[in-house]
Amino acid sequence: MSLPSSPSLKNVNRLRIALIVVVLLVLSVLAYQSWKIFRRYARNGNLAPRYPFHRFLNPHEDFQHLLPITPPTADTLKPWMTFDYLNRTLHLPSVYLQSTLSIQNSSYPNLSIKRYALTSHLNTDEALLRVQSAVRAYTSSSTKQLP
Amino acid sequence: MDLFFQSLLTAVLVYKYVAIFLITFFGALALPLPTNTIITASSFFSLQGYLDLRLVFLAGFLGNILGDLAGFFLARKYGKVLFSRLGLKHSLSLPSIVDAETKLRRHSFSTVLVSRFVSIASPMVNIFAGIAHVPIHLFSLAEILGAFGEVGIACAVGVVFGDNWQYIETLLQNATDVFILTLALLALILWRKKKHAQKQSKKPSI
Repeated sequence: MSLPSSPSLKNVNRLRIALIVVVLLVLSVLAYQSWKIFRRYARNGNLAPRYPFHRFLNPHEDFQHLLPITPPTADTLKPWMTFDYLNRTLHLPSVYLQSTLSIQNSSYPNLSIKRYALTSHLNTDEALLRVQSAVRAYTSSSTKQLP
Repeated sequence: MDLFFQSLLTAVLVYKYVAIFLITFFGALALPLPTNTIITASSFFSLQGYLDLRLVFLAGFLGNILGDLAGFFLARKYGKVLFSRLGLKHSLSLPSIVDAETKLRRHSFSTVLVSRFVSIASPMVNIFAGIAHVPIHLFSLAEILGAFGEVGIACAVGVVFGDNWQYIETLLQNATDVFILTLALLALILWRKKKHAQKQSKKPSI
């Protein structure tokens, strides 16, 4: 025969069950959210490996040839990117953006687009647009020069 | 992407390996920094030829190890003193804490090794391992193996998924949250079952 449980024990049990229910609820919401994100990314092709990893194992493969997958473009610029990073990944002459955008800041090229916007009293989006148009201008002029 | 994370990415682009080292060091020590995401992003930058993948790995690996070891040794030397200064000395002698310390000492290698892959748990385990006086050689060995695996995986995600790293990181973070919550839920249920069994065994049979 079991003894009747005291009211305080009942309260503790209720609290534990409530805690488990809360954790279960949060877990369900998180799992559902993760599944939704996964489906969306998978549909958009965002989860596809960008790099054929198995080719690393081939000793005859030229490793360097595989490295950059998608070259960055003017459309993929972000405010956190520095001018040094842009110059090197977009293959721009080191002074091109400095002279085109009339950047006076002595930190150039170790200067982010966001910092450039702040020091030039510009809106971040406006600064980003200026950099994007300067990059586009360079890209179009360099492709025109190609035979 | 939040502003703080953007600032960290800029720091990586400006100060390169020093920034990676410092971010991983302070992340491993105690600060809630997105260390794995930074390593993944850095390995993507190395694909673009901006950084060297080997140095990214080395900076992340050393930062992780030194940060974790610093947390462990600080807790080992000053942990109990700090607890008593904060008026929490009594809590260290609670049966549940003593039991946890004993279990941590018994399973120190596996606990430290597994916790390296759960960023949130890692600094906590370092502190408790320090307070519980886990043998230094066991902690160091688990730490080196764990950091090698953790940083290696973060680098591999950046290399394999290239400019898709941000999507993968978002998913990985969500998966980690789900994993931690599932563990917490399992622990809660097991704890409840154990308590229930203890109560049943204490009841006098009539």
